Amino acid sequence: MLTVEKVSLLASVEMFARVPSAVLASLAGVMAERQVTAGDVVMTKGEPGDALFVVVDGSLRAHSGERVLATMGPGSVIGELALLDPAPRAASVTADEDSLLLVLAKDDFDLVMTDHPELSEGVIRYLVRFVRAGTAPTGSTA
Amino acid sequence: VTAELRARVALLTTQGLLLGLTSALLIVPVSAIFLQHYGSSRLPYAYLGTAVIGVFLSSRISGALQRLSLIRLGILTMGGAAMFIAASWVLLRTVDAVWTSFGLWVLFPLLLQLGFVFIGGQAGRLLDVRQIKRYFPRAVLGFAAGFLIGGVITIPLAGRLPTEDMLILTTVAAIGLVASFVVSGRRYHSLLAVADAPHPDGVRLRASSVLRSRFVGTVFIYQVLSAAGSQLADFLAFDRAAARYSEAGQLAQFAGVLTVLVNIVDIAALVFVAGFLMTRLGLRYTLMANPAVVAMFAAGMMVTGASVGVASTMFFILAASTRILDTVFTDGTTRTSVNATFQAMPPGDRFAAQTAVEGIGVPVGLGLVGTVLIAFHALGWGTMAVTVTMVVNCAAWVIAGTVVFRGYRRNLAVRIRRREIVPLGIRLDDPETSRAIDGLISSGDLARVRLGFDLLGEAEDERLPAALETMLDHPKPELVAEALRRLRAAPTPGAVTAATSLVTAEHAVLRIAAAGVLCSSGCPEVALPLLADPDREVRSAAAMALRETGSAAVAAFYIREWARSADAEDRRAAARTLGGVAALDDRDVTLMATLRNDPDETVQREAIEAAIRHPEAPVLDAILSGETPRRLIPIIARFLVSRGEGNAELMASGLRGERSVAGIPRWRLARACSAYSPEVAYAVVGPHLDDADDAVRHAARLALHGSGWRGTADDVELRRCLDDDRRRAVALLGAIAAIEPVDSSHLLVRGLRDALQAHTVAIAAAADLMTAIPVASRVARLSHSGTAVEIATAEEALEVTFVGERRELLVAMLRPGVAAADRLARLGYTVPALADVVASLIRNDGPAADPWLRVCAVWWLAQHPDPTLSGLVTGLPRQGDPVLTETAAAVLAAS
Repeated sequence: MLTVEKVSLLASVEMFARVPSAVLASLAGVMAERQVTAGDVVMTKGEPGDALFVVVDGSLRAHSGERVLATMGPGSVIGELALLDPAPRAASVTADEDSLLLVLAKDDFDLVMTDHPELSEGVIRYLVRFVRAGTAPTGSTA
Repeated sequence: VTAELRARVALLTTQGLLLGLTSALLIVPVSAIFLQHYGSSRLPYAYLGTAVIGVFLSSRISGALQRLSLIRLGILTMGGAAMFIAASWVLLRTVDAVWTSFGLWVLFPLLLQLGFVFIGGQAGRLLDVRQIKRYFPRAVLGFAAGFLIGGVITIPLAGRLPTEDMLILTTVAAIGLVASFVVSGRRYHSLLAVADAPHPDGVRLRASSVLRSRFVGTVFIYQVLSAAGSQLADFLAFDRAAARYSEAGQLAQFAGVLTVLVNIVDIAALVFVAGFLMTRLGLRYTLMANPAVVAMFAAGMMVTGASVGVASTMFFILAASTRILDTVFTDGTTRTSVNATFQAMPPGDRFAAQTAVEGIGVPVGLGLVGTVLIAFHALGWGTMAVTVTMVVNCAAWVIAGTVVFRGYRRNLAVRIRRREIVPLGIRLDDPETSRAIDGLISSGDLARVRLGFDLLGEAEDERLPAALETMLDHPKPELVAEALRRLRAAPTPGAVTAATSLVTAEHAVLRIAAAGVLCSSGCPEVALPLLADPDREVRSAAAMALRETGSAAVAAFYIREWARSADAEDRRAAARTLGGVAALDDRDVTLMATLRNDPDETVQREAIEAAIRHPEAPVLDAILSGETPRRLIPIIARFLVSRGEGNAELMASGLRGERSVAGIPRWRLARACSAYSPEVAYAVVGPHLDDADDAVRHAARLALHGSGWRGTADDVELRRCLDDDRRRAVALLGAIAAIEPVDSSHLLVRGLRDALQAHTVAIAAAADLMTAIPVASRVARLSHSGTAVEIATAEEALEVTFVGERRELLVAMLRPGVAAADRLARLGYTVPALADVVASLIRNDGPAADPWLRVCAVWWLAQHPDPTLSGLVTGLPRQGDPVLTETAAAVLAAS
């Protein structure tokens, strides 16, 4: 994917909706692409989580054992809380079909945030909405 | 304009109309009865009566504000006036009580002024400040129309009805006004029919207390001078008419013509000019328009009077014209301007101030004129003396207008300023607080116990040592450690005994705390074994404590050993210990330099953190040497700030790009300069206020602001800076306006909007450097998160704080919810051609040049091919920026 394509995708993700696109370009520069095939386990419940995933294409489900907690398609974010507070994953995530993901590691996120403090402002605003509503972001179930 | 706003304005206009109608229907019969029985020589006494009763009434109304709502007060006051008129009619009809005409004559100006106080008070709650400026003239227009209608109604009635019977119509009109207040109260119950909350300072608002405020006091003086000016203009017109027309019929005809003329010109001005003047000129000029115009004519009268005499036709025409113009400007600008000034006050204080200013100011003005006229009559001074008085009054009135405007500007800025948190002194002398503190200390919870100790400490309470000693026996180790830590500065015998026994305690926190107490109490030898403690934290704490005592050499030996250790944890402990000692020696500095360049990033971080605690030590070169991992840059920047102004030259050269300062980005260097004194900050970041790099430019402005530096509106550097900002704003707005209609969701539009947003913040930061209170930045913030009233107040503050091109730029950039094309038009530019915009962005050569916008513009061509522009992309893949290169290659491949 081109950087501009990644930025276009990130710009459509609610979590980064208020982050300036030039900052998203820096973020896109450190995000890796990861291709998964149907049935691949992207993350396992209880594993330490230190990365966020953005679904570019395909479909995945967050589940606890057999119980499906959420399904996620293009534009969905998985594990966003791990960027701010690494903790064991609360659910497993498995690809339902061949999917393309962008991966953002916490260390890389921290580095970009060092140069672009406005990134944290955008993310905090996003999280505050859920705190106010007394809910958690969809992807945070993972 | 919403339907709700229209309804509110219509209601206020109706009330103005009913007030005008009542006033006209009152003054016509009353003047006839009064003048017939007492003559015009008694008028000054009526003015004095108005002053005394007006001051008394308005004071009572101010005092009643905390018991009664605005609308209830209005209903009671206007209802009382209606009853007074009705009772006067009964007395006139039954016992021919002509003396009641004196009371009715006094009532006329009071009714008019208090009517406007209540209508204006409602406007203050139903409209924001910008709506008041724009729509309050309509309520005044309603008044003028009502007055005209009232005057027209009385013409056919005169001679057909006994004069006093016209008071029946007056009563009916007054009841209509009361009814309109009732409707207002019902419709806007929560805004108008609820009594004000008690004042936060516990002050009971009274006219006298309100007038002690400097701002209200100046508005009051302005109002007094305004009322006096109008009264003098009125007097001079009728005085000259009386001298010119000896026949009562001729005089009445002149009065009729003048009244009709005044009202027609007044209504025309209110319909066509007043709103425009109020919104376009702003309070700076509208507060001074009335006195300036009247002063001009009064000066003309003075010159004419001195040259051709006060009996000349020219003097008469000037006097009549002054009377007309004064009414026009009073209704068109003065009433609305005075009303708007109250919006610069806290909402709870506004109506009390308005009552005091308008309710008392006008009667006082009339009273002063009455007194002056009586005095002039006694001294045998005539028309010329009154004319000179009027000129002097107008000059003072203009000055008062300037002072009121300055106060308004200052108060508005204060109103939108972020609330400051003022620390309150702690007092623990009441039993309830003491019980609460005891509860905190005995809670067993570390956070609560700390708070309890902090409170006792801040209040310098003598119970603190005993409370700390008591805590030493607590079963929770963290609470004992907390108490020991606090006793370290002045160890008690109990603390030393406890510390000695805790050297071998199981919990590390206790051993750490014990080391501190033992070393500061002169027993370091007891703490020596802790240097070999299995816990690194304990070893580090012991070394720090021992460095302060006679065992410094031993501690230094251990610190060096840790620094040489292969274990990064030990090296980190060494760095941490160096940060905790009171003063570094040369060997410590060398050691710190070694740790600063440690292969382990966490050790580097600890070393820099330690250096921050020793701004006096010569560690600058050591810390700035070597490569800095990106994540350590913020703490290196913090280190530079902690060094104070000694490194200003280093920062300046780093900002100029002459040398790299530990790899810290230039914008971070600029931001760090906010810790400098204003002069040093300006010397370092001043040259970068219009830096080509957006981030540096913005950081320089914020740093300068943070340092407390303030320029003036005439500062050459700031003016040049804002001129550059204007060019970039125009380029960005033009680009958005050209591209948005074609594809509003494209990344390029988002990029441009982001750039515009960042640029707007930078413009506000630069503008704030010109003012004592940061108005522009606050407006920028409120325009995104404020309520409608806050936004309106903030915009008004912006408009009155800045002038000329700067104001146009700030208003165009900061007003929320305005399309880019409209902002551009406000700046006097048209939307450029799309192809030119894209070409300029790709060439990266215009005022909107930006590397990321360049990439976005190239990407734009992928979705919106343009053969005339594709040539610009051909050479780009060989350029250095990897993102630009890959994007251009993709665009070319696709084409």
